[in-house]
Amino acid sequence: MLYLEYLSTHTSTSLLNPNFSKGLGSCKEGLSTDPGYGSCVEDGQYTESYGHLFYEPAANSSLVEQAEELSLLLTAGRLTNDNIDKIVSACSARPDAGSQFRCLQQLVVTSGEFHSTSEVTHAVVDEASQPAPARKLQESTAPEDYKAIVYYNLAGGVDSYNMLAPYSCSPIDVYDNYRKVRGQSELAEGIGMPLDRLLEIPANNTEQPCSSFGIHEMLPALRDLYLDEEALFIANAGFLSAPATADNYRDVLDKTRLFSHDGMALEMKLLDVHDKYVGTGVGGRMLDTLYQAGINANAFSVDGEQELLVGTPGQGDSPFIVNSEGVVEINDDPSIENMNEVIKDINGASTIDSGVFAETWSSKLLDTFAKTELLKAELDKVSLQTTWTADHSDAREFKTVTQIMQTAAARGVSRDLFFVRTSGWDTHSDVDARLIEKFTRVNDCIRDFVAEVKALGLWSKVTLVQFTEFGRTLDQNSNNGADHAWGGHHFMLGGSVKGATVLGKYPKEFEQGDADNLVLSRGRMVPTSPWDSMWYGTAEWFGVNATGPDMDKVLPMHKNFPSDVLYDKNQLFL
Amino acid sequence: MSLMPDGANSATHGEMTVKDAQYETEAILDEYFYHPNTAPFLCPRVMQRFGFSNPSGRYIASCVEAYRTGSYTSGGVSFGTGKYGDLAAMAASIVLDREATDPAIVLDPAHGNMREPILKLTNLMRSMDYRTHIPETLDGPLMQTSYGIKLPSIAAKIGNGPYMFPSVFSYYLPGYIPTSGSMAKTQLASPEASIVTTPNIAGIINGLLSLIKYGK
Repeated sequence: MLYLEYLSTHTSTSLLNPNFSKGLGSCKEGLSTDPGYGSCVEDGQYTESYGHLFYEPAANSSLVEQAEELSLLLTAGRLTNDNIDKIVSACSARPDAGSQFRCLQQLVVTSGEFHSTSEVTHAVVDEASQPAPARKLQESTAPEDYKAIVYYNLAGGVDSYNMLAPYSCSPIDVYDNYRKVRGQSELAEGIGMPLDRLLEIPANNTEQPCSSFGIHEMLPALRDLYLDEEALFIANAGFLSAPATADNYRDVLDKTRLFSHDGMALEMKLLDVHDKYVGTGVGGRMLDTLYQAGINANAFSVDGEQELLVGTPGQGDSPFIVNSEGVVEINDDPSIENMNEVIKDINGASTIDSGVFAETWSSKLLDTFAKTELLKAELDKVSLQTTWTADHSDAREFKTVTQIMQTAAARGVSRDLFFVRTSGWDTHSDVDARLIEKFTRVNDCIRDFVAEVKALGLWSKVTLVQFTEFGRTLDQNSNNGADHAWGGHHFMLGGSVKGATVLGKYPKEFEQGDADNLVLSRGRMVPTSPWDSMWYGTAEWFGVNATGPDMDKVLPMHKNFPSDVLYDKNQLFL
Repeated sequence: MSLMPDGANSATHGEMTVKDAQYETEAILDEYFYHPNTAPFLCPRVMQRFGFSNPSGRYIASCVEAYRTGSYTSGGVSFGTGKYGDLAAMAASIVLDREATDPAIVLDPAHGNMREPILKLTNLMRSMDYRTHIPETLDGPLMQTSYGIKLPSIAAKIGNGPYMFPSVFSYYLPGYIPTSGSMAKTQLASPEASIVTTPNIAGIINGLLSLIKYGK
C-alpha cells in the first residue's frame, strides 16, 4: 500500500536530517522538527520543513470548486453543502490563492465528515435540545471546604502479595505458607519476598492472622506514611458483586469475566455489575450525587478517557482529559480571524438521525475547545511549591494533578476527582525484577506527591486510593512470574486517613481445601472485601450521604454485603 | 513434563524431548486455529478495521462462513482457495457485501466508523501530495536531495501509529461504547472513539493544521 512508503524508516545519512528524538515540534505543536532557524510563518515558503503538501487546485478554479475537490479527496464527497459554503466564505478573505487554498484545507480537516465516515445532516440550532451547558464558573467556594480524591490505578494486575506480605504470624505460620506456595523448596527460593527484603509494619488489628506484615523494600515512602498513621491497607480485596466462596463464586459472579484484564478493569471502574446506571463509573456517579446536593466538582483523567469518571449525561460536568504535560491548546496561531469559531460552526448541531460517528467527533471537539480554554488560562497562573526529585512520566502525571488542584477555586469547585494510571503491572514473567523497577517509581510518585500536597497545605484534604484489576497467582509460572488471579491487597493514604492498620481479612492458607474456603487453584484467592469496602467510607468522607438513596446510586452493589465488610467514614478517616 | 509418556526410552527417562514439544505446540495451535470461536472472534474485529464499527449479525455470519469455507462469491467471481481460514475470501466477504457497497447504506446513521488518527494523517498526506522539498533558504550545500519520511512518536501525538501499540490489546477494544453523545444513548460501539481524547484531539488538529501551514 502506498502509504507504507511514507512510513518506512529510510535512514538519511545527512546531518541535516531532523532530530526527531524530542517528539513534539517546535513549530506550533506540529508533528516534526525543523531544519533551520527562524520562526514558523505561513507564507507558502515552507522554510521550516523538509517537505510539504504539494497539491494545487486547477488554475482559475473557484473557491467552491476547490472546496468540492477537497471534499472528494478528503471526505469521499461527504462534506455538506452548508459546510462548503461556510468554509468558502471564511477563506475568501485570505490575500492570495495559496493561502486561500491552505485555509480551505485546514477547515476541511477539522470537520466531522473528515474524521468519520458518517453522512451528516445539520440541524437548525434548537436551544431546547442542546445538552445542558457545562456549569459556569461560580463564586469560589471557601478553600477550607475543598477535598480531592486521587484514584491511583496500577493497571495490569499488581502482584500485591509481594507488595504486602505476611511477616510475623502465629499460631499459623502464614509467612511460611506464603513462601511455600510461591515456590520455596529445598531447590529454589520461589518468587516470594525474603524477610530481609520486606519493611516490617505492625498490623494493629487483632483479627488478622499476623501481628506484623512486610511492605516491599522499594516502598519506604509508603511504609513511612503507614507508621505516621496516614496510610492503611485493606487485605484480600477484589471485585465482588456479593459475598462468594471457592464453591459458589461462578454462580455469584455469573456476569463477570473473571481473570480477564478488560473485564475486571471495567468492573473495577464501574462497580455496577447489573448496569443499573449503564455507561457510568463509580467516580462519575459519586460526583453526580454531589452535584445534585449543590456541591460543585470536577473530574480529571491524566491518562486517556476513563470510564471511572463518567456520570449520567446532564447531571454534571464531563471529565477533563489532560496528559502528563498539562493542557494542550488548539490552533493557537490561526490563519484567519475567529478561526476557532468557524471550526465550531462547521461542527455544529446535527439532526437526531445524522451519522453518529461524525456527531461524536463534533461534540468531542466542541467539548475540547470549551474545557481547554477554561483550564489553560487557570493552569498558567500556578507553579509547583517543591522540587520534585523524580522526572519520569508517572511522576509528571502526579505533578499535573497537584497543579490542577491549585486551580480549584478558580474553577469554582470544592471537590476534585483525579484518575491517574500507570501500567505495566501484568508480570507474567520475572516478577521480582519488574516489581523492583516499578515499585521504585510508585515510591517516587508517593514521596514527591505527598511532599507537594503538604507544601500546598492540602494534605488533610487529599486522599489517594490505589486500585488494580486483580491480584496475581501465588503459584508462580515457568517464567518466574505470576498469572491472573483475583483477591489482593490495596492501600489508601492521606492526611485525614486513619492509618497504621491492615483492614480486611488477610488469608491464612493458600492451598485448595482451606478452612475458609477461599482458595482456588494456583493460589488464586476469592476476595473477602469488595472494592466497595474502601469506596464506602471514602465516598462518605467526600460528602455522599451514607444513608438513603445516594449511596445506593454510588455503590449499587454495596447492600449485598454485611455491614462489617464495608468501612464507613469513621473507620477510615479521622 | 511431556504429555506423551516415554518411559520405555531409557535415554530420555520419560522427560520431554524437543520432538514432543513440537508435536504439542502444533496440536495446541491447531486447536485454537480450528476452534469454532475463531472466525466469529476475528470477523467483527477485522470488519472494524475496514471501517464498519457495528456490522450486523448477517454480515458477520457471511464473513464467518467465508473464513470457514475459504471461499466467497460475488458477481460471479469467486475469491479464496477453498481452504479453512482463507483471508482473501474473508476480505472479499467484507468489502463486497451489500453493507459495504449499497449506496443506501450511508443513510443509516449507525453506518461507518470514526477514522483512526494515523489513517486521517496519511489520507491528507497522500491526497494532498506530500513530498520532500528542501527549502532554498538554508545555508550551505545540500547533502541530500530527498529524505525518507518518518513519523516518530506519532502515537503519542495523535493517538495511534503503526507498530506502536502499547499492549496486546491494541489502541482500543472492539466493544468500546462512547460515554457521551448519541452513541452512548444507542449503545453503539466505536473503538476508535476511545482514543478521541482531549489531548489527542488537540494533537491531531494542531498536527494537521501545522502540516498544511508550515509543512510539518
